Amino acid sequence: MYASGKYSSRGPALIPRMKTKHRIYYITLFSVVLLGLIATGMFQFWPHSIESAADWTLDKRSVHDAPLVRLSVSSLIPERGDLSCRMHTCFDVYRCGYNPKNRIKVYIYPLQKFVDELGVPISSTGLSREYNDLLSAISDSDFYTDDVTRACLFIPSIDVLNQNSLRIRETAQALAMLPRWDKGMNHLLFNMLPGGPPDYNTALDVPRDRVLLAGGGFSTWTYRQGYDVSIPVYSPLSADVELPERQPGASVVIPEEKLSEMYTILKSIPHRQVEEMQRQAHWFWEAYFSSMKAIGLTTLQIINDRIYPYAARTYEQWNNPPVVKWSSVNSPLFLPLIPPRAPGFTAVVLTYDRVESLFRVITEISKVPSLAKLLVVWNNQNKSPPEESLWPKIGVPLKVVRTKENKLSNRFFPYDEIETEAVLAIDDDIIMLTSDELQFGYEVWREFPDRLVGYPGRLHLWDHEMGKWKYESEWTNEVSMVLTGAAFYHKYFSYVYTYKMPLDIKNWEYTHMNCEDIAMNFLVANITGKAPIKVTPRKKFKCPECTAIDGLSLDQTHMVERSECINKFASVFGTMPLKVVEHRADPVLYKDDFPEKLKSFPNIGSL
Amino acid sequence: MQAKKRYLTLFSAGACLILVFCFGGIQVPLARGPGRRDDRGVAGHRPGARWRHFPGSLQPFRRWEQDWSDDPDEHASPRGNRDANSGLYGGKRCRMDSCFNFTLCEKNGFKVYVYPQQKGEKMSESYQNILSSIEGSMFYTPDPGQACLFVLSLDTLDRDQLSPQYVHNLKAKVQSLHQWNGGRNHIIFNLYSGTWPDYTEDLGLDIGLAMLAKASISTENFRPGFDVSIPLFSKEHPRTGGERGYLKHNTIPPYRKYVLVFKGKRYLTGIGSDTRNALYHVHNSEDVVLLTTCKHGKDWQKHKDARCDRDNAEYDKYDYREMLYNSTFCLVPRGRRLGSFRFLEALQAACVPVMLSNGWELPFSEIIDWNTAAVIGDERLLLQIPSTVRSIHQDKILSLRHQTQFLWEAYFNSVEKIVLTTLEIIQDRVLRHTSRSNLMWNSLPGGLFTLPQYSTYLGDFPFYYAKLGVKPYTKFTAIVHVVSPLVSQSQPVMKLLVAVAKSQYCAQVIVVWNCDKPLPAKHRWPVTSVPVIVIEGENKVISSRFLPYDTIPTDAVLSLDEDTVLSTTEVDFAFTVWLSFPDRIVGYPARSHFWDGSKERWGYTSKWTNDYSMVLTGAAIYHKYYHYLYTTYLPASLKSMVDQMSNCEDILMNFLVSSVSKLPPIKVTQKKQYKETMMGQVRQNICAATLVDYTLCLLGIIGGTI
Repeated sequence: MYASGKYSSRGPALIPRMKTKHRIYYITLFSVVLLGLIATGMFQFWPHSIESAADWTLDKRSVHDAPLVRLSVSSLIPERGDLSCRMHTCFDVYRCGYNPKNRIKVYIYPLQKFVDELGVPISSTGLSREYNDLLSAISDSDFYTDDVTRACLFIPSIDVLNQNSLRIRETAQALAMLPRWDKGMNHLLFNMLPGGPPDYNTALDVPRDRVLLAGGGFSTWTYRQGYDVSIPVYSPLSADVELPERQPGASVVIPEEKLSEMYTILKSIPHRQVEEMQRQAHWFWEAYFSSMKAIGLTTLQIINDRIYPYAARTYEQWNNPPVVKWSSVNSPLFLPLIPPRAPGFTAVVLTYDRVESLFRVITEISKVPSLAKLLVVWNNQNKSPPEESLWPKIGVPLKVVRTKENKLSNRFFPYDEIETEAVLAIDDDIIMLTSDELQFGYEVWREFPDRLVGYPGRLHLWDHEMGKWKYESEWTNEVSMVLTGAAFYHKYFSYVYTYKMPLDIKNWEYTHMNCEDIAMNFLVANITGKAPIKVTPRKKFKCPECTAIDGLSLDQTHMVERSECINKFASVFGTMPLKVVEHRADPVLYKDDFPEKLKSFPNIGSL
Repeated sequence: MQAKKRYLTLFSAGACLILVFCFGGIQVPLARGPGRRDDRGVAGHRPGARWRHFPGSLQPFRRWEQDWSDDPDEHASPRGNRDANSGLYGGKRCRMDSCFNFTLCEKNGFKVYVYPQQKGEKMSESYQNILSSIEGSMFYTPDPGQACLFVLSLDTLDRDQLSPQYVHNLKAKVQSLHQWNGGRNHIIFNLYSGTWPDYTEDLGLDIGLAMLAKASISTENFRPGFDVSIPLFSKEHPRTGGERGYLKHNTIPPYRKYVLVFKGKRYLTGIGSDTRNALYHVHNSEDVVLLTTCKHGKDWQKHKDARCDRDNAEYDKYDYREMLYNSTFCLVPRGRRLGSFRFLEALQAACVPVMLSNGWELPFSEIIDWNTAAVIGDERLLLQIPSTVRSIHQDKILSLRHQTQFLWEAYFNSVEKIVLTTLEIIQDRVLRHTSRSNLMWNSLPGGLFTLPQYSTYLGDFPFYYAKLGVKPYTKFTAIVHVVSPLVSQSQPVMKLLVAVAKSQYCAQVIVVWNCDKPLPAKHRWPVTSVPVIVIEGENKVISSRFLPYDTIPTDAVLSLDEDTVLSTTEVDFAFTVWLSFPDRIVGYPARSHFWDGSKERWGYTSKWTNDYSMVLTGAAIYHKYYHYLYTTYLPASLKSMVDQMSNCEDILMNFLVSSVSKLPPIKVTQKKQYKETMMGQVRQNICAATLVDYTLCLLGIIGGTI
């Protein structure tokens, strides 16, 4: 489609310059192409009318035209349902095989009309409206295959939603006649109204061998844990009903004998929880139970999760509405572990060509006791880094990585050379941080390893006049970002930055050559839901004679651009993940009236 | 010109192709019908036809008038039906509703009785540990009349007849128990059942209506919502305390030296031998190292097969511990029985377990979402396992690994945890409407520290704010502990009340009057803009300052001593910091503990130090829930010790909070030094040392202050 669009836009410009003969030829050709496109478009937009038209003309599709299959009295009846069935005993996983998508393939048998020897149908309703909807929804889903040989789950088109409309024995015989039946192995039946007089059993009475049953109104006795799927159906409140799969948190279960106490029990539920449950219940309904489609696909997803458990959705994915952004607060590093001090940190210095300043930074950082390795990211493709002999001699390994492109995000690449968890990102002009300050920063990072721990703090503010976010670098009481010109963070965030950052943000940061640090702050806050930590009161980082706030940030256009970055990122993330705090971390004895030499970190700069 | 023509022709050719494709695309489904049907012939059918929605109106699957007939039987509830044929739902078909008497739990709550031990009965150390864990728990009652659950004092752990631990004549002994009542409301703990050669799950006694808390239980025998699957643990498993998980580093990328390892016995024949016999197919002696040995049992030489010698040699080359700590995944294949020790070992080592044990009802499956901490494989698909684990993403590996550590420390690392978890699961069933949610069980700090009796709403606890995306209520309640009488308007407590009440975040002040003198008249208290409630301390004991008073309307509590000196700004600042760390103690007076090598015990110091591990509750903010935990969760012996000394309650609180949150407290700065008398110093030294014996939860030592 795209290619032909290109053609039509270029065509008219070329035509006037051609001979008439050719012109006519091309115009004809062109109109054919156009007509073709329009026709195609129409087919695309009204696929249903085409389909059904085709059906009516070619197929005359109707339930009444389903081929008739006559059962004989003596045809095979399956065994009753086997209560001991479990996935590993009654389900053939080999049919599902290994596939990279971890998705089962589901086949639906074509519709047939089963009648007994006298020509009486096995069901009074035949294919019901609901079952038709259910099967159609499945056939439209990714689970569906029309290739019976590739399928791992088979769904008969025999409608058993309501047992009361069925002739039990004949239905069972019909099931057994299905070509891939094989004792019901890997077959799925949907039933919503089981049982009939006199027993009113809680599961479908049709003998069905090893069939997986997605049923409404299971009791805990008929439900085969991990095999059947409990689906909803309108039914009176009662104690032993196996609740539809995975829905605690949205309902209150009260034993039958406590019905008289129901009011007190319900009243004791905290008000905020009731609201939460209402929201949750509503979402469950919408997502999983609201239509036959939702019920059908939920059932298949549950079975899919059992066959590929390692790719299964987590409880939280099942239970949290995806629209709510905060559910993205989901860091895999959630344990409150304080990493050991010994491995130290790797300093990553991003540099372009300020060699003199770079060397000074290297010399300063090399004095920090916990420095394990120094990595210089040489971002200049036109110039080689200085010869090895010219570099400062330091006590830890120093590696230089040359990049292929001058991108700021190169500083956040998870280089193999970084063998420690802690990374200190530092600019090649941050010369004023003392060894005590850096070491202290590392100690603070160890206590908060899932946060950005840095020195220069910044803030985002809502600009009421403009109705958008604003970047702030003035003296403020609050902090919501720390600049990665000097900040510690976990190497995990380098990995996430490089491989998981929305492309939109990466492109923005690349074209503007700015804001990679703001992007990192957004990323970390979005994953952890936590604010960064600013350490020490220092305000000056580059040169003693500079003003307290660094020169670069004073530039007005720079500030405007940084504000734009914040607005852009907030729109990409769909939320403002940054968290504002009013505190920073200082050494325990900082400013206390106590001999300096007994303090762990005496040399903490004040400005 | 020529070039242009050529391009044009090329374009038109392209356009024609697209046209053909477009029409073709539409024709495919049309052609599909009759054309391809015959290819996949299964006689008499139309396989291969795509299922499509049938147009036109169809009948609904139910007609409403059908459901509302007047047949009275039809409306009999399932319970009614069940009671009518109750015999059917006993024994193997037991459920809580049919085999458990809930009325026993109604009067006194969930109380557990342990039968007195008979003299001369032999009992394994493991079972002794189980019983003493129950006796030390808050569920224990010595009075069978109050109990809702009964525990045998007969050792049922090992029911393997060939085992030396096997207790004979159990059948008769159980039947003769006074309260047995057919096993109703009893729980039976078991680790091993059955014996060679078939290892059935039969215990060799009639358990009747009793619940089973059993290791290696199969889904076939497991009665859902009734039995409890427990982990298999060794004789050496500690009774209490428990080792921490081994995870110290989160290196990126998270891959370890090996991808998948296993080291264990191989059974050449018989039940459960297939999987381990097949492991060599997957072993590659590089990153997938699966080692088996035939050397076990008396006459292994007699039965050995062709591979035994080679396998044994390979087996001896590797050190199990080294493999365990250096592998990303650990295979946990079934042995003779479904469960194996490898499971807990892998969990502790942060080596993600890969389960190969079809039909094993995993430990505490009722409450633990094992998909978040283990890879559940299928024995039939052994050959796919390496590619399956290799396809697992880095993020997923990290979170699986963290979850193994969380679960290990929350439910498995001591016999006590295993037993308490079992009891809490049953309590959740009994109390139903006040039971824990899945999130409470499966995220920090875990179900044992999250008591649903406090609230079933997650937002009422300090642990889930980030997950729920909510914030704590932005007000606090100040609780001032007063022990000396009111004599003048200028005494420190008066100033303190005024300063605190002025805070914009203060909702209410509660004075806990623990002074021997009677309550002073109302007008003697300073006039403040927020309500001041005076409560006489219960029995005037020091722990009464930590009672979860109903009159605390906020999430946050500011705990104060009467002689604390604080300004309004200091209070405000501490509170804003607490909002960022709602699960910790945030406050002013910091203290530290240290290991006193010369005395071989812990010491306590309030000297100037560069680090701290406690923040005293003389001026600290923390979540109200910790009041509830302090009162209901801590062992009574500890509380009474504190009450008798009238001291150290603040240290105990720090122990509690740090053992729940696994995090150190946060000290906030203050201009003035928080004072403490020398006397207090000495006494606290004594009790700190005593308290540390209670739990060796080493508080993380913090180097920073905020």
